[in-house]
Amino acid sequence: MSHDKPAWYERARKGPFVGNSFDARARQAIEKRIAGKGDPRRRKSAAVATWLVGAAAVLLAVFIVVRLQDAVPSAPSGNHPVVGAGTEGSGKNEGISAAVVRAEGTAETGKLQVVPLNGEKQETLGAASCMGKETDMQFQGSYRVVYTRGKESGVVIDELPEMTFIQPSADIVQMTKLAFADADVFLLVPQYADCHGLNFYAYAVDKNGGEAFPLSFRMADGTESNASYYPPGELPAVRDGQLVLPSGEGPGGETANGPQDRIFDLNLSEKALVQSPAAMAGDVTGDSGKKALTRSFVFSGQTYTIPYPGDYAEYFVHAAEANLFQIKAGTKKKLTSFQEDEKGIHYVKDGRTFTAVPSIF
Amino acid sequence: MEHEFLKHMTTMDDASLRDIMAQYGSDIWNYAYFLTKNRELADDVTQDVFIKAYYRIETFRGQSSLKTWLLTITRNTAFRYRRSTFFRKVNLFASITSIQSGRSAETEYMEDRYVDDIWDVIMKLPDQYREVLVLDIRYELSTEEMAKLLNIATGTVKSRLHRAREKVEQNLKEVRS
Repeated sequence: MSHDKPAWYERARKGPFVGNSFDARARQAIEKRIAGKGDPRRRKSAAVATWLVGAAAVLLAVFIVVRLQDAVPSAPSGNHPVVGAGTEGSGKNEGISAAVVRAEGTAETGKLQVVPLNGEKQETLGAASCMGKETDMQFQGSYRVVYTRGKESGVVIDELPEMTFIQPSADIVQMTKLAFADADVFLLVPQYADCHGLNFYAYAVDKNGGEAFPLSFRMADGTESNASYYPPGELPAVRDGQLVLPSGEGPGGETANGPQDRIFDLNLSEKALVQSPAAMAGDVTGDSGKKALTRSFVFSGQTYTIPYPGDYAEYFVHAAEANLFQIKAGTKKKLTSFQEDEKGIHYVKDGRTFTAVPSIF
Repeated sequence: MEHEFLKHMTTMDDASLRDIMAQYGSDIWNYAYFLTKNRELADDVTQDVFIKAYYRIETFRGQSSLKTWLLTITRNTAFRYRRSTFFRKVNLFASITSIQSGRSAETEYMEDRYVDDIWDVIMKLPDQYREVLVLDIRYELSTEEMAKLLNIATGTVKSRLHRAREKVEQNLKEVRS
């Protein structure tokens, strides 16, 4: 990190507020919640309020979507003129555009469209840089991702506040479509150029139910994000049913093991792309020096392991600690989805089977 | 590294919770505020962060510092709150109060002032620039730590930090003039 820190850095070392916003009262509130001694009146009133607010919000969302449908132009081509563009000047045009479709992706069951929430600020880049050429267009605003099925009203599935699009023209950005067995995954890449990494968001359209939703990126180290990135010029791909993101490693960011592709499994029930904890792509020996993440638990004196992360891993550990494995199937207890055989303990969920295997030391 | 023992825990005791709240509480609250720009949301996010840390301490494996781990949880939690912000923006009931309830008008005015006008400028930056800037100024994370936290390339961290500083300096010049 640069040691040439601006002088104003010192001004920002304190604050932002005069007082300490996390005081003893805040700590006590947390301890009370953990102890289960939160204010029941607050919980009840919050629940009622949330229900009423939710109902009002649904009505408002329907009203907004109906208005958006009236505002979105239905021209067949991808060329949507920007309304209210500024005047020609020294190469930097500015203007506020009316509602337009900034990006879209077409699935078999419907269409994803990215639309500005309250208009967008438009200008040319003005100077060539890593972000693009001087004549490229820059759009700034807050956006919504709307999914429309057939002739039904569109549904807002995501909000993208304070976004910047940089594209060669004002044409609608076409989302990259990646085909998986059970869903089409659309990649929204707001900025088409960068010297380092292209940020993107991912949305799945389920082929079975036709539902669309944003995907989070769940990394092997337990972190999670709503976006990821890939190096310019190296597109993401689907290989053997998995998403492969090329390494973003570059000067100043080299790792000891060299470039490593990032491999993700599409988990529609979790609405996530889950980084595979298995051996890294390109590591033919299967030993990259990094152990695959696993969780362990003990049952009847035998240690079992299961790949991690994954909610089912937490559940195995919880079941072991609560001695739930002892409960036989057929009792009235609900948590009896476990089956045991010589291969391990199997947990069946949503038609899929997860297995904890006996550890061998 | 402080609190290194926590990576061996499968459950957290109350004393450890109080300890990490005392040490990191302000950092977490401030980061939540930087991300949400809303005091009430920052309160809620901070509560959730420490509750998650308490119940899921076994997911802390020591691969990063405890502070970075907590900041990561804060970021993820803030994004989830922001996604549901649409339902939170309409507050019809006065009975829904944050942990800051009970403040007098004078206390509220004093406590809501920024300690320096520089924060007026920083809080107006676009999200992606504000975030890397506060992580650099307040949390002193390395480029690699920031890249991992934000799930972006290290080069992108450097670009955004450069642009963030440029924007602040430009705004400061405009204010002075």
